Amino acid sequence: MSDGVAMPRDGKGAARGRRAPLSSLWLLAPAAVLFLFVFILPVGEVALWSVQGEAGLSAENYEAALGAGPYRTILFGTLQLSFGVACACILVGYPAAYFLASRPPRNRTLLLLLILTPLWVSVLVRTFGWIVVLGREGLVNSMLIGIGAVDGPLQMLYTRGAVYIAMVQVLLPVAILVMFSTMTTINRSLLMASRILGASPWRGFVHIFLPLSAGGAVNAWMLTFVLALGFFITPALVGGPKETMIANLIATQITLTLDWGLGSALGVVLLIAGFAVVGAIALLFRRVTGLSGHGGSR
Amino acid sequence: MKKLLWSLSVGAAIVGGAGDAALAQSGNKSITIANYGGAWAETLNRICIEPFTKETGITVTQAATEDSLAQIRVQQTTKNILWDIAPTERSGLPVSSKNGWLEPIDWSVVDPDNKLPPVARKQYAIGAIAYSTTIGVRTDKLPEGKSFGGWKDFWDVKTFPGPRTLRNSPAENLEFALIADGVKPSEVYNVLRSPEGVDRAFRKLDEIKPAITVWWTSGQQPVQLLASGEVFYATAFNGRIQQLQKDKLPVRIIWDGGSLDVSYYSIVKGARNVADAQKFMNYCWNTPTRLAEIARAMPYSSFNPDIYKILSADEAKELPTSPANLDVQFALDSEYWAENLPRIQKRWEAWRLQ
Repeated sequence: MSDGVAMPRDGKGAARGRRAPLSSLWLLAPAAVLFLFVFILPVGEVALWSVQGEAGLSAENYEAALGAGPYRTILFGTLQLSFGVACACILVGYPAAYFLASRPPRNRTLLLLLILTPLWVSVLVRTFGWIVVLGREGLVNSMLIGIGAVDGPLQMLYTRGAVYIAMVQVLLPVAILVMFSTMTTINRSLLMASRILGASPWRGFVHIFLPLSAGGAVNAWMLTFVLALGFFITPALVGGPKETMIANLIATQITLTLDWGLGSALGVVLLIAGFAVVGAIALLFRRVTGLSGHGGSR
Repeated sequence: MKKLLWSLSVGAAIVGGAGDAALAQSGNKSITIANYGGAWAETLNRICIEPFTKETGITVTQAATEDSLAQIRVQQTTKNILWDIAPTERSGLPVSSKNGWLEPIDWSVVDPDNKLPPVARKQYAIGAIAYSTTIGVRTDKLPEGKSFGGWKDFWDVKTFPGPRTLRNSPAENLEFALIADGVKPSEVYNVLRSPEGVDRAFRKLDEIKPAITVWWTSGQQPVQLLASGEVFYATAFNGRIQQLQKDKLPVRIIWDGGSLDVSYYSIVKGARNVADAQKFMNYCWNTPTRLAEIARAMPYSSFNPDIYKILSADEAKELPTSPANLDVQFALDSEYWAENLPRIQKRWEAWRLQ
């Protein structure tokens, strides 16, 4: 699942010295053909639309998308929101993944199942669930009014906070799974060795477990960030008057104003911005830690 | 080997059979209607499609769509025409007429007796039904002893406090703002055609903005918001508010200053079965008995005046085009919006994010 955003292995990684022989490259052919037809060609066409003006090539769509104005505001808003959601997913998901990874394998299956179940329920249904919970006459407000904590209903739905909560809930299982899979590859005897050498459990965690699992957390961050960038239904249904995501804006251009050039330009900008942020984070992580995104100590 | 041969022959039989079925299909006549789905599609099925197929032997398939304009464009650019009849609401009709994506309507087939008024008799579309974007009010949330009249009261958050919702679209909201600002419904487009008029509408919208908790995007949303008490005042399609009333919710519909809109249907250029599509248009959308049945099932009214000979007075007054309701509303100007939407949409986004 993390393959989509997996970072390039650097020279120090496991890839060195085990270079695939040329003769087996044909194994990649089916994937390459699929990739060409379902990704490169359509995205290429969209990129072409985005630079088509009234007369030949033109950058006017990019000027509209990136110049000062509503589209740039929405683009930055989308990046900011996705950034926050991804960070929240890591902060909340990391302890859960740690807990999960430290259970004996037999208990893990059940716990994993509990985490996976929400993924089987459609995003739309889960979003409607939040409408029921957070509404003016919803569960939380009824409870608060019931115990006398507030006089009137609080406005929780249709706020930025509601978008955060709903998006984190949708993306959290993904983040947990990615981090969990990294944590299970960590050799626990290293921790035991540190204890034998006199380190406290906390010290062992900070100096051994945390660095080894950091790659997984970064991968999980990038995956949730990229998924959050494209969110559409959740912000439209529980977001406030100012919560418009770039995906909603693209839909308006494609279906309502029929300005496919501008819609395509916004799509291309989103794609590039996503790549840029993910690339920057990956690079930064490697600079800081000297590790590749693939944690563990195999 | 034997197994392989056997499975091959089964495969060939299936492929052959499918081929036969496809052949039979093309021999039978059929048309495809793109439609909005839900209750409207079911009504159409029961009142028009099933009897039409029984009488003529022409099979009619409905395809669900939300945004027909984008799909019409895709079908025209790829020359892969999947629909015979498509809805062309709002800017859909002027934009697709201008681009040459539609077949002209043969009025000698669709309206031979010349019953329809010009608004329903367009070169490239029939006005099938009229619907209205009106105000829905939660009567149990109204302040004691106050009666709610229209856009002035919608804007008056002091006398009528409480959360509100409007559609996330400049179309019709600019008009509503002007009416709240004192412009007569019949005058709104004269005002909007000047740049100062658009500025005036946005200034008026500034006043109501803090009271809008959510900008709705789909037709069912405002009705849900009203039903759950999330908002006290909302704009919504008249039929959906009347559905809430049928469900015994304390909701009132305000026709004053409503935006009357026409649900147009067109024949897509390059459609496989143009002749039968015209026949269906006449059968379903211009036969008074069936139109009256549609109006009884859903409070959307057609333009053929003969339906009022069939409907009772009580039934008629619930319709958006009944004389009493017609007089207090304005007709949404789709030409204006086709021309100005791309420009105003940008300003709308900027304004909403401020």
